[in-house]
Amino acid sequence: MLRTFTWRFGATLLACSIACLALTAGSHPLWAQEETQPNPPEATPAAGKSLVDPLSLITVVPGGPPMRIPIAVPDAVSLAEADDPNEMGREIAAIIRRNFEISGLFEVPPIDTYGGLVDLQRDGMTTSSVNFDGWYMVGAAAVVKGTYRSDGTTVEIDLKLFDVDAGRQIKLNWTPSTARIGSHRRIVHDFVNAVIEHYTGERGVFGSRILYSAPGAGHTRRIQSMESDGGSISGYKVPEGLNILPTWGPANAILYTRLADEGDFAYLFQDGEESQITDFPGWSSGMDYCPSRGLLALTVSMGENPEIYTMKLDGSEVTRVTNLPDSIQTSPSWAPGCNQLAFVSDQSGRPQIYTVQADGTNMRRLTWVGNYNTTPEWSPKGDRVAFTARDERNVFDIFTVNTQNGDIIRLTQDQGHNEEPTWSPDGRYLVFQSTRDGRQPRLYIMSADGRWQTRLSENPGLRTPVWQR
Amino acid sequence: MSHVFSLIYSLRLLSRRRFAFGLAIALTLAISACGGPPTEALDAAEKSLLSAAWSEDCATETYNSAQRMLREAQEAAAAGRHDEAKRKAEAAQRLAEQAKLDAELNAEECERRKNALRAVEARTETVVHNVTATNETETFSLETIYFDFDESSINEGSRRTLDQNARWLLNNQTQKVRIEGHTDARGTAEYNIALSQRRGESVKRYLQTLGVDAPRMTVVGYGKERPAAFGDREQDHALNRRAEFKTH
Repeated sequence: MLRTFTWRFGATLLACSIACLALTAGSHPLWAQEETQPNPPEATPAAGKSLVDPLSLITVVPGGPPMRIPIAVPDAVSLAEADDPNEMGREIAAIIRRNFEISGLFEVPPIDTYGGLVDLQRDGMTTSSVNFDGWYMVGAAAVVKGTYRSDGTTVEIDLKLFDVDAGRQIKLNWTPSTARIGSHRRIVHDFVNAVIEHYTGERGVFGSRILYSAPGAGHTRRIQSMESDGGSISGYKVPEGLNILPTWGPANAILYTRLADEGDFAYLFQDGEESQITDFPGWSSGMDYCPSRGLLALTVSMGENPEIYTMKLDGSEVTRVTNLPDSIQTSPSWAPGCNQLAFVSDQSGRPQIYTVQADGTNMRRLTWVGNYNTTPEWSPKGDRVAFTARDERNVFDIFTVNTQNGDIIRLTQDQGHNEEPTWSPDGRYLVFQSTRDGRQPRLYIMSADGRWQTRLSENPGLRTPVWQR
Repeated sequence: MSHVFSLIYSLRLLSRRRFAFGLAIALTLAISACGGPPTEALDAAEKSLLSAAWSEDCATETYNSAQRMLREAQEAAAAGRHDEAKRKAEAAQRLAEQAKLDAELNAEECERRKNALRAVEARTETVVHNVTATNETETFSLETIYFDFDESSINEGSRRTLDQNARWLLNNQTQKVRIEGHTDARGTAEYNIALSQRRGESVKRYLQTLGVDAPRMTVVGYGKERPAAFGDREQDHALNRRAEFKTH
């Protein structure tokens, strides 16, 4: 009854809206979107063309979040007697719920409805003891049930996924295990990744980390990292100073630049020790490390204009990739396989995204719209490059460009400034910084099509995130 | 009718979810075409004013009239005078757009005026960076210069300042100087380092043309990492687009 009413009301509203739309001659910007396809790429560069192209004509494609699978996640239960107030059980379930929400694939029915429909004390961990009718009433298509046993230093975690409609357990590519308390989040993330694998055919990436620069005392900045759900924040003990533009090095090592009066050099931080890896005159920054080739791409100014270089971490094999003395070349990003680089150049008068072979041949301009396109990040699948663009209103937003045909998609719009995108290892998500919730940027995650976006961290002033690959 | 309007308005303000936003728009459209308050025109005007906020300093009069007009439009809408409200909202939007244009046209002059004002302020304060030269009794500071938005070329106002700085450097041949380039807070981190570096380099080149030896000068680019002003107003940005001089 209620549903019919809602539907009728909606239909009436829709009819009225359509009628009124005809009257307002379709002038509302939301309705102009269909007609505004991005300009096709030019075959030949036209000088100054980028200055007049209307970036604002490319708008976010309308459409709500895709259908999400409702999965109930009650608190995990302790197998030991009288473990009150069940902090660990609550934490385990909270991690799963948060990961589900962030994934964009699942929604979690409100947990305060569980108790009224399912006897949570008696609901079991086997097909015969799970109250499927109760979970059906909660609105769940599946339910995650968990138990744990802790001895104070380690915790053994078992989690199971049940299909509510079919009334059976879903077999996952995951086995229960034991971890030290503190690193048990890893087990839970991995379970979520297995659930994602079950529903999508591709394992999730929760538990991987994101590196970024955070505000320090005075004018300094320091390097921190967090898990891709915003949890487990940890800092690196790098010397105090203006430490910026961090990136991942070999294994768990990190690379970054420190701006200082005596010069801006690149550093490697590994096993608690810092080592300086460049001492070129001028400035070095914007590193991107390719593990498979052990090769670092970076910007080096050599006391003149900045150019793209590659080198080994031990300082050998320094190779100059670009050579355009009158312009800025910066922010290199490796393509998968590390044969090509995307980078920023203002050789046309304004910063645009280019690609080039690692040996410096076959330079190609990738963006032909807008007049300030920076921070290219090549997707792990290689088909797109994400970047930050400034539109005509001087607002910064995130876009991606198809590396083959130059087709551009807008991912953020009308929510503060959005900058510095970084891809997840599976290419399904982007993390970026945004001022949508305050003047100081915070970190957010979105699906690669931009359809839903979630804040990762409350902490303000976090910048230049880089996802671990 | 006004309470419906304010309900929708608060809905639009509060809602972050797209579906709610869409619903609000559908409602808005439905009501506006059926003789309700001109919500769309009011929204558009408000948006224009917001995006023109930066022009307040350089096109003050036009911007203020836009603001006044929007207020009148809102009052008219609240009082149920919808035709008048629509007319005034559209006028407010036009004025806001005009303010942006005026500000852009005046930008250079306006910037120069602000620079001059700042220079006066700086002089009345005690000299921050004292360098006492052996053959000079007066104290002198190498003055900071400012750049236009997105620019690394030296503008007219800065040229005069640099001429003075060059004269001092030529009279004090033993002093070495570090030129520190900076940008405002807008723009991405690494490209801003490049831009600030280029600002430093263009200062160095200009001083060279005035006879200062290149080996006495080094350049560092700090990007947006060391702001001089922390606000988001246009005057704060202008204060941050600068090159400073440090002697050693």
